[in-house]
Amino acid sequence: MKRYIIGVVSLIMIGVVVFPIVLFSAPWPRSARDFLARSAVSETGATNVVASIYLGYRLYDTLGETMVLLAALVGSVYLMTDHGKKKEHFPGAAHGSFSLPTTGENIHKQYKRVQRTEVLSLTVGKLSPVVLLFGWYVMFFGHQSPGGGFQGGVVVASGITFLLMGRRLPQEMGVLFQNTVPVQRIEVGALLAILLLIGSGLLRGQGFFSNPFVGVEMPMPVTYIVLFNIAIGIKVGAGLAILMILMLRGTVRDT
Amino acid sequence: MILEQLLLGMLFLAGFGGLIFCKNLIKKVFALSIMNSAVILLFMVEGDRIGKRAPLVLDSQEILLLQEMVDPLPQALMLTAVVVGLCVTAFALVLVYRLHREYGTLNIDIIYERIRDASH
Repeated sequence: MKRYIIGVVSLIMIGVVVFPIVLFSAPWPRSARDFLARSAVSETGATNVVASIYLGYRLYDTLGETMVLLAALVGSVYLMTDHGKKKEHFPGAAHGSFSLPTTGENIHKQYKRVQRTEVLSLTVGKLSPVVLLFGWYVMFFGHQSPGGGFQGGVVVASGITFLLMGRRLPQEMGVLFQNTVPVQRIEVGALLAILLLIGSGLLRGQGFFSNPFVGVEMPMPVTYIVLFNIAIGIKVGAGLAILMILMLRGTVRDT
Repeated sequence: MILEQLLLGMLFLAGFGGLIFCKNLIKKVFALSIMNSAVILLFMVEGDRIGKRAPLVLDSQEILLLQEMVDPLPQALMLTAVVVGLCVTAFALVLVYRLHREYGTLNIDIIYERIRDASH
């Protein structure tokens, strides 16, 4: 009872702090919007102004975002695969309904044990190509429609998750997703592509994070944003796919 | 406008309440995610105070139409928040998984008890 009173009091206190922030009514500044609406297309080439911000004006922020994602992924993969000391003192530890398959030998046995209805398996299996295609679309057209690398990568990763959860995984696909090594290679390649793209402005005598395709002789500055979207999308998709593979049917030896 | 703001404040408080009152660790992670979504939606709502159209500059547009565009800056910044929120959720879920593997339960009170028993 005392615990609930403390909870309610802290909830009220947080409300007192939060609601004045949430309910503010100051006029929103228009200068940034007006500037971007006038000059974003001519400076970066992307008709989606959000893409022109996060891949043009604020590219450094995007690099930091990618690194945050990488750090979270590395930490998660380490914690997922590292066993540490096995403690079996407590009932239900390491073999409860929540436990995940952790050894490579009995993937299939563990995988079959997961309860999954026929409707779910069939539906996600049939949906996965559509979701993958949509993910690629979102990734490739992020410069002129809502979307972009991060969003497209997440959709691609959910398509891969659907593929893994589906009823029949084709044999070749099964080999690809048996362990996380191929996907890890894809992710590392995409990270390398991002770093190369960031440094590509140096080739034309500009600094880091500058768009090398801006200029009179190169009339397509949007190329840079498209390439960046694809690289980020592949990196995000591969990273989340690694997490999903580990969570669904992880192997220890190969990671 | 005031209605959306009130609803988002209540959504944030709902997430915080879940963080306080839920004993299940998975539900706590969900509550964190709800709080994150409330903040992101607040920025979306505030950014469209000066216009309602999507931030896409099409060729056929007049400059008058551009003045009705939402502010694209909060959307671009909230992209970072979404990605970081995703990272936090994934990492928290993995930590919960490790806790469950160690202690065999998701109930935070029982985990506390077992830690206390193990340390004695």
